[in-house]
Amino acid sequence: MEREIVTEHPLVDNQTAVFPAAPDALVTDRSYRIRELVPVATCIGLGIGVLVFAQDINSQVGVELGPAFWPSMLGYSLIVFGALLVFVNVLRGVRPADIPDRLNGWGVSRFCATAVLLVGYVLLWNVLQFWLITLVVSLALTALYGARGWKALLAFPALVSVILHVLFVLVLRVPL
Amino acid sequence: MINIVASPVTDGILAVLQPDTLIYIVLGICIGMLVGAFPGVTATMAIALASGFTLTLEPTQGLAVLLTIYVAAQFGDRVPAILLNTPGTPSSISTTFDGYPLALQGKAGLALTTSAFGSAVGMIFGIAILAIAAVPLSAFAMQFGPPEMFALVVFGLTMMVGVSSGRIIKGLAAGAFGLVLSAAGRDPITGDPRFTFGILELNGGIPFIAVIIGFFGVAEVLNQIITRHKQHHAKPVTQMGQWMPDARLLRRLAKPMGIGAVTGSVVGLVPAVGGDIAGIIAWDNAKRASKRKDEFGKGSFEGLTAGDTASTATLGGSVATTMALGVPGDSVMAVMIGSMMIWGIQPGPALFSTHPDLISSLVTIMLIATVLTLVLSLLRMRGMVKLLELPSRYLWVIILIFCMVGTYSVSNSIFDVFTMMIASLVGLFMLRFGFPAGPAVLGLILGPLAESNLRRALIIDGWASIFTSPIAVVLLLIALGALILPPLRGLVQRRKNASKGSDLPSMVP
Repeated sequence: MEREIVTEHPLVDNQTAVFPAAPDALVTDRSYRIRELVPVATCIGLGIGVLVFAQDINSQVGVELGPAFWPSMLGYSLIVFGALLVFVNVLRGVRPADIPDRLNGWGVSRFCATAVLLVGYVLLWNVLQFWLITLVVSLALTALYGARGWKALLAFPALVSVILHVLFVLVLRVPL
Repeated sequence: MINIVASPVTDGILAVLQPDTLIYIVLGICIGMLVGAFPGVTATMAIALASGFTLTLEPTQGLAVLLTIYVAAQFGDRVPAILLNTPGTPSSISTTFDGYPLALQGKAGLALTTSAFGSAVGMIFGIAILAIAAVPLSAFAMQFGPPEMFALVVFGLTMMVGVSSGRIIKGLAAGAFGLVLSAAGRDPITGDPRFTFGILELNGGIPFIAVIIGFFGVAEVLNQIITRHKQHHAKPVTQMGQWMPDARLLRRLAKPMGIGAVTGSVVGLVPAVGGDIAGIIAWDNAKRASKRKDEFGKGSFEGLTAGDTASTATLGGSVATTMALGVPGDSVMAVMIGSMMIWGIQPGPALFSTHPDLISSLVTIMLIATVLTLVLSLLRMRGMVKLLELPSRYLWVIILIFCMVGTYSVSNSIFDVFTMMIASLVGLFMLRFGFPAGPAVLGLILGPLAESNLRRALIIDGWASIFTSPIAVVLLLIALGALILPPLRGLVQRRKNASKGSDLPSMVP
């Protein structure tokens, strides 16, 4: 089933594309296939972890098919799925749609700074006034993501903190 | 057949017509339209985010907010699809096929209004399916015992894995991961603690709303933060041209709308198949049935309305299967099930006998939301175009902070917030390595149901109890088909293409 459509989607560089495309040709580059070992290791590692911890489950009630039955079954399943991933993704290749956008250094720095700010935000909820800490954190995040000017750095964080304060503290009476 | 004189029906309608519930419906419409209009903010993300602050509301009010966000997002997402060629949510993929070419031809206004009419027709068709099918479906499912219930959960999980993700092994692994998460806490039969690691809060299980918000809300934003190189914005089309369609055009669109409504209603009843797939199938069906096939993909009102009608018509079927069977029709419904369980409403076969007024409440909420959203969509709003130019950084800040505070507000627990943060890191890992989050959430929510029913079935008569039940066998066979057929079809297609390629004359001398 092939049909021609006109599109200007960013991923389609010409005006006429074939839709839906024939099944994507797999990307067989070594680097992408080696990268697929991470999901394999995760599945197998998680499966083994589940099996190990399932051994420690002690049942007070002697019943057939006790509490460890279901987690053990899932642990074995994860190991099987990990092994299948080796055949499907590592040996054969990866679908182009499964290759994520490339990371960039500035993005990773922004991610780390975001994590620090958000952890600090949660820890300070019960120390400072909620609206104040929300104002400071939203200002810091907005600046971190590249906004400049008084509207972006003052009006926007102020609006966010007012809305959150009214919604959660005054209307929903959440103890923040 | 629903007896409209019966009190549960009128009770359900009256519960929705309360002034405060109507206010929540209007609030949901505003949020939904905005969510749909911003590319990158999905309806699932918005509902996960909204579930944080709707849990303190009455169930009818909370459902009103969540359902109207879902309904309105189906209208709002057409705006960027038509003006920017970027689907606001996956459901509007088919809108881009003809919507953007129409906008380039100076017919953006007509494209927006005909799309809104098509979406409203589809939605009303879907709501009719919900009203007609939900109660008989749940009555049928009332016959289900442990083997059938287990098979139903497996069916729901595999449909979500097989149909929507296209990454079957990773989808199955994600589903198994969700089931492992659901095993933490107390054993559903013996009550013994499992995987609690001495943490008191884990005795009640992993807080699934926190996990849902982490997977669908924060993880997506974090992924955008680490990968976005620079802020670049495509300019939306601003020339609207004629706004309201004339009677002649509307008459011409009746046929594609009918095709879309029927296609979407059928597709919507299949668990886990969303509006995106329905829209594409209906677009193709409408093209086959049209006398102006050559216009499709180059700016056809018929193609536009067929796709949009179908993608919204899936909603009713999706809500029906979710409520009647307890198996979510799509990832939005998976999130909604999580919220409903917090309110003490367990979707499943017994739902309509324990809450007989619920079906009429759901239908009324969706009808009001559809009519109000249609009216809003027909207003000529220049502000909507301006919104498309808003940089994503503001959305990131709003989503991150709302997710934090929303998660805390569920049970006023810092533990939940840190669970959400860990879930968002896990969700980011899953996004980067191609594990779909939908099956994981479904596994987390349906895990206890699957485990308790499997163990009960096995205790009764071993594996024979499952394989001698015709319903369970049919469900498991369909589930198996959903897993095996797509890769087989791909393999056959690849071989066919390869053999065609070998028949073609080579261009190389």
